[in-house]
Amino acid sequence: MIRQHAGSGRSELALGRRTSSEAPTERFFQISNLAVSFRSGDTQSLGVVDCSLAVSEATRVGLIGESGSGKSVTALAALGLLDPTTATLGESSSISFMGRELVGMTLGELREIRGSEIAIVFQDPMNALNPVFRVGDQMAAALRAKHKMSRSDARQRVLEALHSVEIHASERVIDAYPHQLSGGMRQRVLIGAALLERPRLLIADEPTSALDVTVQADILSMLHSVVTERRMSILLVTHDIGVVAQFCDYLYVMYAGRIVESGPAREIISSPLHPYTIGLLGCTPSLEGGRRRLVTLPGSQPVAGRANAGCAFAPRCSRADGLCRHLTPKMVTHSPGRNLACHHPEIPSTGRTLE
Amino acid sequence: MLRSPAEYEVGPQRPTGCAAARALDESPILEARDVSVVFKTAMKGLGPSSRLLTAVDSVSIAIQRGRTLGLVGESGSGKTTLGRACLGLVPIATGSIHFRGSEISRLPKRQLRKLRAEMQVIFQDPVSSFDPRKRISWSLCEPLRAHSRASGAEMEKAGLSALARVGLEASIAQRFPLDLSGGQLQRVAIARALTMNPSLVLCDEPTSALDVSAQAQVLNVLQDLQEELGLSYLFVTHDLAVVASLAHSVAVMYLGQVIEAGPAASVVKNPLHPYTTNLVTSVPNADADGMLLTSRRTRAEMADSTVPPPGCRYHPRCPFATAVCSERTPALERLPDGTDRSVACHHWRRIAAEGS
Ligand SMILES: Nc1ncnc2c1ncn2[C@@H]1O[C@H](COP(=O)(O)OP(=O)(O)OP(=O)(O)O)[C@@H](O)[C@H]1O
Ligand SMILES: Nc1ncnc2c1ncn2[C@@H]1O[C@H](COP(=O)(O)OP(=O)(O)OP(=O)(O)O)[C@@H](O)[C@H]1O
Ligand code: SF4
Ligand SMILES: [Mg+2]
Ligand SMILES: [Mg+2]
Repeated sequence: MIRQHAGSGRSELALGRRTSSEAPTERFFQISNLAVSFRSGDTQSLGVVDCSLAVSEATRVGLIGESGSGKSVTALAALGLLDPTTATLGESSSISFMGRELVGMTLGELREIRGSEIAIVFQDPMNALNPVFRVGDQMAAALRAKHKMSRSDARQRVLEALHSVEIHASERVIDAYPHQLSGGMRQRVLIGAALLERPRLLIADEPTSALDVTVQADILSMLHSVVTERRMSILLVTHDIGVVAQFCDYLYVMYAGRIVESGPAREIISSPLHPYTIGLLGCTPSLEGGRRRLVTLPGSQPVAGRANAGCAFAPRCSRADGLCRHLTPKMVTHSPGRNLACHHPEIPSTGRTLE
Repeated sequence: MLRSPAEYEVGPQRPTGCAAARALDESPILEARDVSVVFKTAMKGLGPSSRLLTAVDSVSIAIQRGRTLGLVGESGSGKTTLGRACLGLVPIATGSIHFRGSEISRLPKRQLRKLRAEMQVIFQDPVSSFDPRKRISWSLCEPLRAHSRASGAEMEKAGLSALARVGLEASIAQRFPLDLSGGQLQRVAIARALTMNPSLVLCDEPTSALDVSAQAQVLNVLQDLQEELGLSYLFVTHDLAVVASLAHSVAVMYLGQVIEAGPAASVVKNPLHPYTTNLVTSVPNADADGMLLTSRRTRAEMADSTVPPPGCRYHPRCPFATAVCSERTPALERLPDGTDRSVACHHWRRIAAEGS
């Protein structure tokens, strides 16, 4: 699980360009101009083209996008978890946490931060747990590897962590093997493990996407109250705009490796400005509205970095013109708090205009 | 501002009057009565001994011609098993299944084979239902090759016309499965089913592996085909929002039983069974602020379907459960108001009156 940081030899590609209009201010957590390329054999491919995002203290930030848009690569890069033998960061990529630059840190320095300052939870709880050890022993071992503490103290901390994720039968769960727990219970255990060292920021990559919707709702509700109580920040990666609407204060929309729109979650959802965001909202089925045809976006998302010149969304966009096809739109501030990369954004006063 | 996609025009041949003729016939195209399916499961660590698992427990459903029945419920509730049983793909332990008036479990093999061609299936994972080494044109004709004596040219023609119907270009036929996106491949799977001229299609989570934009394309194709060809769908999904946007009626399953059924719009708007209510309030809704996070009223995690709880199977999780719930299994009862709704809960009247 411990993957090495991709900081070394990162000047090979001149990927990064400052396209964001946001001045890189001193923020709690900030990713600026992240670009990630992968090497396999002689070929290079881009996983993230240009991603800048910021998380303030005690806020819940959503990162949304469809499969392959670069969400997980961004999340992994944020903790230096990409495999350095294949992944390279762009020249001007920067990731800072409370004033410290993470890009270029040694593995030792990163380990100090991982878990205790920034923790991460993944989608697949089965793969993240070792099937042959009891879950409590795994959690206690991880704790004792970093901190000097007795077995019984560690066990006590683990029990507390399980309590905090609303596992009521924590005495039973702590001695269970992963396969004895339901998927939802396993995901609670992993969230509990991530909270063990009381991190300030939790990065959660699709933490509930593999679960049944009722279990998802229980876990999101639990997660929401834990991060609120502890005044933690969370970066929630998801492909479900409904989850973001319910959970997040602020939202970043990613398309083909780039952030294309950002702003307060409620505002984006009630009046999206980027044609992709508008399409994404229109094609999401909802309980209301009865039987109907959904809005569709023709075609499909290009592989990150392999899009044609211009706006990566242009081939699917009803507003695209010559400008869109030739010039990649930069991220600009549209109105206070709202940023987007589009040559012909929706005019907000008229709201969403969907056919 | 988004135009409905031009890429998705319907094919030239549209059999006129077909939907109308089928709609005239009021009897359900498929009717399952008291169907149970029992599996033998080997227990880990106990050697050869096995126990029985009732995956589907005395379930009755009916699908009207040209209509969609959505089957929802959580993982392991028996949706797939019931769907497969309805098509005669899994042996049933009790009950009967009538397809177009014939009881399929009683039919001689040859006749069953013929009827089965009229019942097609679309699965969740489009990739694994195609041979990666064969061109799409080959895979498209697979069912025709197996079931008909059509010539190569006839099969090719049927394949191409089916591709047009699902809004794909003919050039797709020359490509390989792995060159297509998940959404395109799922539309090819629909086209392949169409070559058999089915009247009923079992759609088992056909969009669960897709992104929302590809899902919307597939769901629209299915709706259009239903309108043009009068197809009936048994649509299995865990996504209630998908059901709400395409099904006429819905049956909600919980641990092998149907616990609520009725017209989709009415069930979703005004669920009666506490599990259905839980399901409805769990759907992350882009429009309602924070509803999801505050309205949680459940108690525990999913139960193990190999040892269903006694009485109402939902009682360990139900906020309304009383002693009777753990003792007696509630029957699926029809609402007296003529709305064609039914619910299996001891306390539905009280809950409805409370307006929870
Ligand atoms: N280790 C890797 N080597 C090569 N390419 C990779 C690697 N990991 C990711 N990619 C590519 O980078 C792009 C972004 O992938 P990423 O996993 O970040 O997408 P995602 O938004 O998380 O999608 P999903 O919703 O499917 O999880 C994809 O095109 C993917 O194929
Ligand atoms: N061939 C089989 N042998 C033994 N048990 C089976 C078999 N097929 C299904 N089951 C069991 O029957 C129950 C119902 O399974 P089924 O696949 O029908 O559920 P489902 O509602 O479709 O779930 P999902 O949403 O996960 O697809 C489960 O407990 C499952 O483990
Ligand atoms: S820049 Fe042009 S192509 Fe891209 S989303 Fe905006 S209008 Fe559409
Ligand atoms: Mg991912
Ligand atoms: Mg299934």
